[in-house]
Amino acid sequence: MKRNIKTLLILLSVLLTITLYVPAGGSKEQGDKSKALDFPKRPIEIVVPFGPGGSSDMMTRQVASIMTKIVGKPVNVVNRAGGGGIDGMVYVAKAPADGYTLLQITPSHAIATALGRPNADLLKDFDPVANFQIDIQCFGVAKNSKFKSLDDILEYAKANPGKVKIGGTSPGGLDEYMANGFAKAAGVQFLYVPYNAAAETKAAVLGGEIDIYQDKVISFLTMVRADQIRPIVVLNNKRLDMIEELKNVPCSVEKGIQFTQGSWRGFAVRKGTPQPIRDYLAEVIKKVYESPEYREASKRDMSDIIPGYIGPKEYGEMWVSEIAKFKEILGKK
Amino acid sequence: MGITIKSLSIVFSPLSMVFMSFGTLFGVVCGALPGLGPSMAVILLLPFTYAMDPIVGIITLVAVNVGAQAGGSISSILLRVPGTPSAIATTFDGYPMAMQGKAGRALGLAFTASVIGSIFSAIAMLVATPLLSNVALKFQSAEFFSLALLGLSCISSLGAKNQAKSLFAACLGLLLSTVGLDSINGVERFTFGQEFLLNGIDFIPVMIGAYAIAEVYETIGRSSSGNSNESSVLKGAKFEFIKLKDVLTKWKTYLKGSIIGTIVGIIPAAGGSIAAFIAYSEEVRSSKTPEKFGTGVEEGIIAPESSNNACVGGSMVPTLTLGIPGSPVAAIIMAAFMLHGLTPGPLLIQQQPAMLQSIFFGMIASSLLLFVFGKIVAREFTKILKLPYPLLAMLIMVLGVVGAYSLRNNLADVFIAFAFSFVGYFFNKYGYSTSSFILGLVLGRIAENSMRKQLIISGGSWLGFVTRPISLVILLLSLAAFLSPYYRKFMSARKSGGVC
Amino acid sequence: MMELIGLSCMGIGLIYLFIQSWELKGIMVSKDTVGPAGFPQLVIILSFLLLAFIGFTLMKQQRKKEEKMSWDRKKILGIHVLLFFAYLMSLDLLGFVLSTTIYCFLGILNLKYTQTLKSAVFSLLLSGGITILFGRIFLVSLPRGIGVFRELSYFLY
Repeated sequence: MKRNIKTLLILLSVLLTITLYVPAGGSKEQGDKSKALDFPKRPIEIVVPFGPGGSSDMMTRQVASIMTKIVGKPVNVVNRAGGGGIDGMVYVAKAPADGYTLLQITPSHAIATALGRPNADLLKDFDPVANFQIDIQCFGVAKNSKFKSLDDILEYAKANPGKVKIGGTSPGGLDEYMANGFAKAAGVQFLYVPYNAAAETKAAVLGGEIDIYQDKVISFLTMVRADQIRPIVVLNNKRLDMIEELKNVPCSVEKGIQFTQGSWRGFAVRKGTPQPIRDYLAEVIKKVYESPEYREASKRDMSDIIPGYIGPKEYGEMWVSEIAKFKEILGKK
Repeated sequence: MGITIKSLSIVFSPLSMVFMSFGTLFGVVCGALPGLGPSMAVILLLPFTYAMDPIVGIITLVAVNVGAQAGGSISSILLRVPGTPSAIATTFDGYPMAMQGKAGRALGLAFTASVIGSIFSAIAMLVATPLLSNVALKFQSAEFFSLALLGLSCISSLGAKNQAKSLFAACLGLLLSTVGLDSINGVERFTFGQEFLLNGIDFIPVMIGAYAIAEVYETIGRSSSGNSNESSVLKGAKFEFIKLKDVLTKWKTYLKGSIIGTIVGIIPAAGGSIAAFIAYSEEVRSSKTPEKFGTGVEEGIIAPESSNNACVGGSMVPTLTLGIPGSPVAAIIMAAFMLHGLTPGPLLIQQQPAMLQSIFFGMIASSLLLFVFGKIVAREFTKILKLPYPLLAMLIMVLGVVGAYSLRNNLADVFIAFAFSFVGYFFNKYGYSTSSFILGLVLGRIAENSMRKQLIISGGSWLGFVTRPISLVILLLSLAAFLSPYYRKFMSARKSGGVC
Repeated sequence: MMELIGLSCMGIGLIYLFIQSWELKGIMVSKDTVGPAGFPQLVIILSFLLLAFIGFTLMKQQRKKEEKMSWDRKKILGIHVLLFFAYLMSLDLLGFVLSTTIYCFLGILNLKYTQTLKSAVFSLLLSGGITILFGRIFLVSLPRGIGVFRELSYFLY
């Protein structure tokens, strides 16, 4: 027993030494720039309000690993999934406003604000840092579907209101907003079927359970390239000429349907964070965005088809306009 | 032939062997630690694979998944805390076995089953990928509903002692699964304005409370000096390699578990936990002594463990051929493909002809590595059992807290575990089946969601469930499974009735 | 007896949830015939029937003598539960490392373990080990507490 205690003590001291030395080693490499500001003094946390593995999570992990090299302190990614992004939002809104806790945000948060969910208000509780990625939504049908083009679908939908089934994830979320918004602008009615995960939606459209598959450009393209999905429309004001597979796909505006919407992924901090720190963070995010590492990675996984960086001021304005838009369609009910 | 040699040379090159060994070990450890599932394990290692050759990177991640699915059984068996969601069913018989002093054998069975499951699914993946990918599309909402019912059907066998109590527990589980945002309508159900309830109640904290912590309460309340059978528990705690003869006598269980796991793995978005439950149900249904399940039956470990590992290979099938991930972990692996600039789908096989075979050999290699690392990690974990009970009790409490917390980095989950520790204690004491309760909680959401989706799609008609052939077959199977204990009881009552 | 009390508590809870469930109304998907309340209501009715059945069988049964837990055991178990609750409450104040160490030490003492030094070492080792394993290697952001504890925790994880 005595020997056991000895080994325990040795182990403990070793562990303690490790813990005390590792952060000390990191702090030596601090850059000159942050000296005037003296930020960050300790690791920064980015809260992803969704589970590991989603597009938000993957993006944030990429950002964090590049950011670590720029700020000279560890940047940790923390998943706080729950309540469609609200759990993480509430957590950051309660954390100290010192810039050490960032929140990764998406339109879900703007929608939560528009719907007036309790304890969650993007405008009241948060300040924008910067947007990082922008996605455009595409609609498609299965390769063997009886519908060949957008006109086919609209024609059928006009004759049979509420018969065309469109899938998506999360009820009352962005996907449903886009399905209904598009249908409304086109003067038809779709039946929206909510699934739990994007994978289920894909299987449902290929298996013939639903008619229209909608997804963000990146994930959409993989399905098109896999020769499973025929693209029919892009919810944008111009065609996506830069993508070979989508060159000949009409955009919604050219078809006379005044509805464009996409997803975006950016960062925010709690309201009340000092201006210099916010500026510093925005600058760091911009550096990450422009870094050769990210350029190369985003080229490979196609996440940067649409330039995504938006500075804090414009980003804040974008929040206001997006929330107003969501309120108009979702808030009335 | 050239491709085979190329993939063999990639997989068995010293460097990739090192990565795979590390990946498997890392997976086993992550799996064994409560709260860190396969998803977390894969995502933590993902950044390290950026710099690797795409194939080496992918097989490393697959090795992590193989390790994590198997590692989950360690804490399920030793501490009654499921290390991963897919190891829940393993606690049903694994922990009782450990209490009877057969922890080492239980661990050996779990790892043997895991190895067999992964190898089986790897072979299925290699041989039948294009064929099987269509299976993925046959499973739609109606089939999901039937599958959930099949998983639920074993509640009647789990509650052999008191049917009403078992059914009641399952109903409470089903009710609990409806808490949170309704996934069809977006309505808040039974949340009472609490934002931590919006996403529903996760089953991991509930299990940690109702199983592990409740068990500690009971031990403290029962004995005067910790657990009385300490010495006998310790005697059998050495990791036991299962003899081939042993495996052969139970070949049916291994095979069935592997087949079920592979198929459920192929179905998009249905992960290892569902596979394990269905395999367990099926094993109970086909057993001659269904009432023994839950008391430490070897088949009760083999079936879920072989099927949750078989899920790994199965879930790669739609990922590779359709670009649809077969499980949450496969979704992350798919993201890894994208980060390497590869597009999953039919083109992948053309672009990277060695990929499929390399994943196959990688899975075989990492499964065999499981024996080595399983033994090592299990040995370290069994040491925990040697602690005097007061220390062990506190260790379980703290591990339970950390496990519940790290699931979503949320203290609310820890309080959920606390609340359900009393429910578990009550259930244990008065013979309500905690397992039925958990089963209801896990499968309730899937059952309700897919039922309503099917109704939306069919315009309100219930016929869809029985006109779709696969759904009908599964429904009949689950009905048979549900009724079989009643039937047996009826038959034996008639027999004995004649004698009296 | 305890079982009956527990069951009646559940019964009251079920009735409450059933009343609550009438408030749930579908608003978004028109073709959803079952609605958000349908499934929970079905389950509540089922559980209520089962509950009534279990309750009646219990009452009919002759009261079995329940195993009485000794007063000593009851006290230890009670303190154990209270300590656990206090520990959970303290996590957000003192942070993970400190509260776990204290909880673990007191918890072991409560279970009548006599070797104080060993339990102190064990407590330190357990909380230190878990902090490093989960907080540092697996990057779980363990509770940090408030004020000075929060600042200190950044040295560890």
